[in-house]
Amino acid sequence: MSDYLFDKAGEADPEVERLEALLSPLAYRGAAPALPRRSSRRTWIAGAAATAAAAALVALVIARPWRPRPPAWMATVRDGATTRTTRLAVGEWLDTGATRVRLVVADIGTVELAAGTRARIVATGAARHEMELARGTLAAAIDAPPRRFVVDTPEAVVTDLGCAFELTVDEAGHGRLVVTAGKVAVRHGDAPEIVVPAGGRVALSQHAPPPPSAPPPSAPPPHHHHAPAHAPKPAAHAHAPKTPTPPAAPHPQPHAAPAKKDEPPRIQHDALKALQQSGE
Amino acid sequence: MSDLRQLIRAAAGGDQRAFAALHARYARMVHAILLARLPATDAEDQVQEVFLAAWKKLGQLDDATGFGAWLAAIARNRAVDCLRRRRPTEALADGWPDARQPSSSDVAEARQVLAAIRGLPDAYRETLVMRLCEGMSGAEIAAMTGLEEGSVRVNLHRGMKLLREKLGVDGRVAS
Repeated sequence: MSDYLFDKAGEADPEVERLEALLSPLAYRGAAPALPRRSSRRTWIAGAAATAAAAALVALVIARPWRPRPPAWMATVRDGATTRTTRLAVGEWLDTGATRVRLVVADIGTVELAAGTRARIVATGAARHEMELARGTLAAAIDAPPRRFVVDTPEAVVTDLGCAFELTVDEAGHGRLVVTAGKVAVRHGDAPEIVVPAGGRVALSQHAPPPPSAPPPSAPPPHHHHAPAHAPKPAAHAHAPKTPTPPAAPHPQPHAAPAKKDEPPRIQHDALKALQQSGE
Repeated sequence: MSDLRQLIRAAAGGDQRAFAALHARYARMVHAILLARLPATDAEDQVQEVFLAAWKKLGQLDDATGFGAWLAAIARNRAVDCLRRRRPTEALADGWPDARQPSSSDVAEARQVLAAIRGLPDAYRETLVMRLCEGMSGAEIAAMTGLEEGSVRVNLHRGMKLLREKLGVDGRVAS
């Protein structure tokens, strides 16, 4: 059976045809962008070999290889009209206090930390960037290929699949995830991973009641090639957009991720603290 | 898929012609994702930015099958950034590319239809813009985005149903 809307074949739907005629002038007709010059891999290898000796000499003099590599995450504090940027090192806890902080996550995207947020980088590298959210709210917009950006929360691990999302952890350690674009994977302990599409909201609480359905606002759920947010969730629980988060159950260690119990929280990142106190 | 893998590998190695081929194949999808969220003139500009961002990060992509979804994610994030940077008082007025000026009544109606589409959930508005603006078939949309064809079909029909509800009985915008 032909389906004009899907395959543009068979008997045309007049309304679809009219909308096509109306909107088709907006179709993209641009050319590829002018790309910045980038040497090919072969050229790069040859060039690298030719300059290796000189580079090694310079590295010894300047870089002092016994020092740790500089962190690739940059934290920007906005305080009124003032903006200050500092590097954030792996492992250092960052308490945003009364200000908002914007993190540039290496070269893969940005994370906005709301006031009252406590977070840190757990690991950062070419293959994976991982941070921990102990409490507060972060909004991430990540351009990396799937599974390069991970956020640990006290009750679940949230993995970017190419998306934008907002994640909140309350004082009791219970989390709430809202996916604003793309998809996010959520894993709770040993339970199977679930994939939450854009528009989905998930409560990250192991004590939450059984999941209700989670259609996007004012519409039946769109189709995605992963499990939609309304699929049964054994551990994390999907909620309809306006469903309140279930009451927080007591949690034995409110601010510590279970996997990192042996690691005591560190003091606030000194450089950032200094920036916030500078009052500029 | 091996063709796509080769193009991606070549582009990641600095081959600009390979990257231009990827652009030719995926630009309509990227533009549709942007147009589903941004004014038309902004959407055109941002297509270039999305592909430049992809060009810089292409070496990170180790699975060619994820290229379309990855590009789509960059486009969505770029649109979110654009909207965030926009001043609160700045209207989301739809500019119209100068070279494609149809009659003023058609432009006005097209703007209203686009506004109605933008009010739909992400998955519906993106697939509808790909289909109605870019002229992509359901199979093309599935191949570009990585969605199942069945999912695209459902999204198109559910999206169209919601769009019809927003538009009048004769397909014109309800006042």
